Amino acid sequence: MSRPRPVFVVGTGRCGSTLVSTLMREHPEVLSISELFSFVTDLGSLIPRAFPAEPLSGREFWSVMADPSPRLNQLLRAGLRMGEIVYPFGSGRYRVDGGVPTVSMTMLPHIDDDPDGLFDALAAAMQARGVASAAEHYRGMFELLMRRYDRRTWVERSGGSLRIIRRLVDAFPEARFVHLVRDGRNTAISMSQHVGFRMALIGYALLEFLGVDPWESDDRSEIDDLTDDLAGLLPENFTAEAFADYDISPSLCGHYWSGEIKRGLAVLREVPAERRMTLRYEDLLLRPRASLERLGAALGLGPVDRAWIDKSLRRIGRGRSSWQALAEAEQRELQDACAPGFAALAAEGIRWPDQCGH
Amino acid sequence: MSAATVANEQATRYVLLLRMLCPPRHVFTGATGLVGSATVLEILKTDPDARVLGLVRPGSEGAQQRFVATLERGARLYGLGGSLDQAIHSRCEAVAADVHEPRCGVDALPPEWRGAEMWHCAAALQFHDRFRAKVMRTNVEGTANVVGLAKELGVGVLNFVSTAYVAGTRRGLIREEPVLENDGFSTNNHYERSKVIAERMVRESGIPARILRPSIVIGHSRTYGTLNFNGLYGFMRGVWKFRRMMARTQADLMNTLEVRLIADPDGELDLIPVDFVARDALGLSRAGADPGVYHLASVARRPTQRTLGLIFESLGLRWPTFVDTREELTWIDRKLDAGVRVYNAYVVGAKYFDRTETDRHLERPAGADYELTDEHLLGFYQWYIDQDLAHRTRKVTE
Repeated sequence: MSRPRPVFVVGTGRCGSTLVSTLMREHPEVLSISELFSFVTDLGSLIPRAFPAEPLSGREFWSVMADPSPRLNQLLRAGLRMGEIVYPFGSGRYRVDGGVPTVSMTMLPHIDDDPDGLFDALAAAMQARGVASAAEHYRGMFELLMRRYDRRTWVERSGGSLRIIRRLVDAFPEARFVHLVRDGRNTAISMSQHVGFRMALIGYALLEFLGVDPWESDDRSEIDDLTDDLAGLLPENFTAEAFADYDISPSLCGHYWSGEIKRGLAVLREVPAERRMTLRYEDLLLRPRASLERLGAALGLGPVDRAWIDKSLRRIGRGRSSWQALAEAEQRELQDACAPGFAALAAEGIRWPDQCGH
Repeated sequence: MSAATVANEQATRYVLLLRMLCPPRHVFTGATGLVGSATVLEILKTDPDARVLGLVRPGSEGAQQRFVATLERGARLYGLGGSLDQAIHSRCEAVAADVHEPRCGVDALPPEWRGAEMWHCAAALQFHDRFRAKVMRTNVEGTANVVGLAKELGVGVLNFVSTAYVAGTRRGLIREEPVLENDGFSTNNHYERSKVIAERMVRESGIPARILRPSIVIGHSRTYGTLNFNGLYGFMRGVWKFRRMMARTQADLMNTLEVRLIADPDGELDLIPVDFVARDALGLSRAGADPGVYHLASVARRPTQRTLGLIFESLGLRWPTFVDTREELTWIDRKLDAGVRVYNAYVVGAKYFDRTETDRHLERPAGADYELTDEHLLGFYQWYIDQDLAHRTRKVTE
């Protein structure tokens, strides 16, 4: 029997993909990898570090996996914890103020109730590896985990992974891709309130206005150009209050959503049609059984596991965020911002009610 | 040879001897800044006897090295090449100083500098609110320290470089007269406020003082070069950084999006090339202009809409729509506004800076025949993009 192809569940983020990781975790034959790429890239800010052009040793690769991500740890120290971070801070060996290894934030506790034990085992195995490309190291790590937990395939899902879709397609040409999409307007509202997305967008603003990544460089020569609200978010000034006060609108996130959708679709079209599928989050909520059938089939494991579907049905709840609750002017801005993304999806036959009506 | 001719020749020889023995001396603060360095270069270029003393923060290089390097760089940026290098090395000296210290941190100056002409050009130009204390310290306390030193030196005259924008929220014709602090108008930001206070301190110091008020100082009229990137360049940089920030959100977003900007659509931007500021300032000095206020402005007035439109175009953006109030801005417009709001004084509330007093003392104002065309404007913009912004792009590409 040929080996099943690995699967990436990709999306803009805040599109319901965390739920998909939860469902994958329930599947007896699937190793569910959650938030690996969003976290090793430190919320999409250190992409070249996670996908270096040159081969690297196992020790170097493990450093990318394990070194604490500056943005994520900054948030934790300020008491801003994303729901996706499931490390057991009370019982585990790491403390917020000491820095938490990147893979320990979500990926390892998502797989094992003893993430520290798994960390040690993985560290020993990965650091012993020789020089290889990053993609080979990733494959090696996933295969090691599949053997350890007796799974047939792996499914990686990271919030906002369309940001790195080019890297994923190039590094894993054999993979299948499940593109999860959600109404851009509700996605954008959710992004604008989400700690991780807010931090990523703040990071982009700091990078451009300061001229360097302030978490990677001490250079403050362009600090005069920072607005006062951004200056309050430099690592040396960072507070939860300044973070909460920084104004990020749904419309900005709507533009981000449109950009990611356009970029993502352009790359996903390069993947053979039989190895990609698009799933609407709203369908997963409204027609869960049919959606789970499609999702299960996309795993390429043969007949879809009925017990997994039944178990998964109990996990699926109702969606939140309703863009209609925004003030009229904000709705209009959000509609305009999402229009390019909707248009790109409509070209693929994917639509939402009222997506252009304003 | 007539007796009169002989007398004239003797008088000329006497003046030359006097200038050799007792050359014109100028003491500068801010001599490594834009206006200060341009004025020093103008002095060196036009007066072969003049000596210049820079009160310079030493930084890591040391005061003398920093002073000389800045002047050499400025000369090259302003199309003078190495022609002033010898003058810079032989007629300029620097003393480590800091305007934040009493007497600018200077222990004692050689006696020959007593009675010199002093130029106070040092200033902090940080507009965001968090720099309020720092700007007040440099521009107000610093000026107090400079005034104290000037008194000790017994300077002949103090030229204080202020800004035309001490006018604050006043509109229409702005005359060359002291700003009254209780006439119902306010300043737009703490920078303007600091200059209003500093002007008063200089006026009340008892030292004969010329208050020089440039408008928006841009690069050299012919080469477009500039030593630093404040004012109009700060506005450009704010727009450019905003564009790049938005591109990280969606790569091609700003190619199509039209933003709104708060500005007077019928207003004019008052720009003045730095070489004109230097020439007119020195012209006032040489003419022995009375103590008073002098506008170094109204040389190159350009419609605000077109001037800003061309900035946006140069940076690959669509021309903005001008609006009157923040209520008309979308969220994206507000983010742009937040980055460039500190320059509102330039674009909101049309002002015309009267320069009757300045022109009265000048044989010929430096910008008398100057016309700032679209071509020139685009030249200034492109120079800045090539010399600064393009390098910043490389710095943050990853």
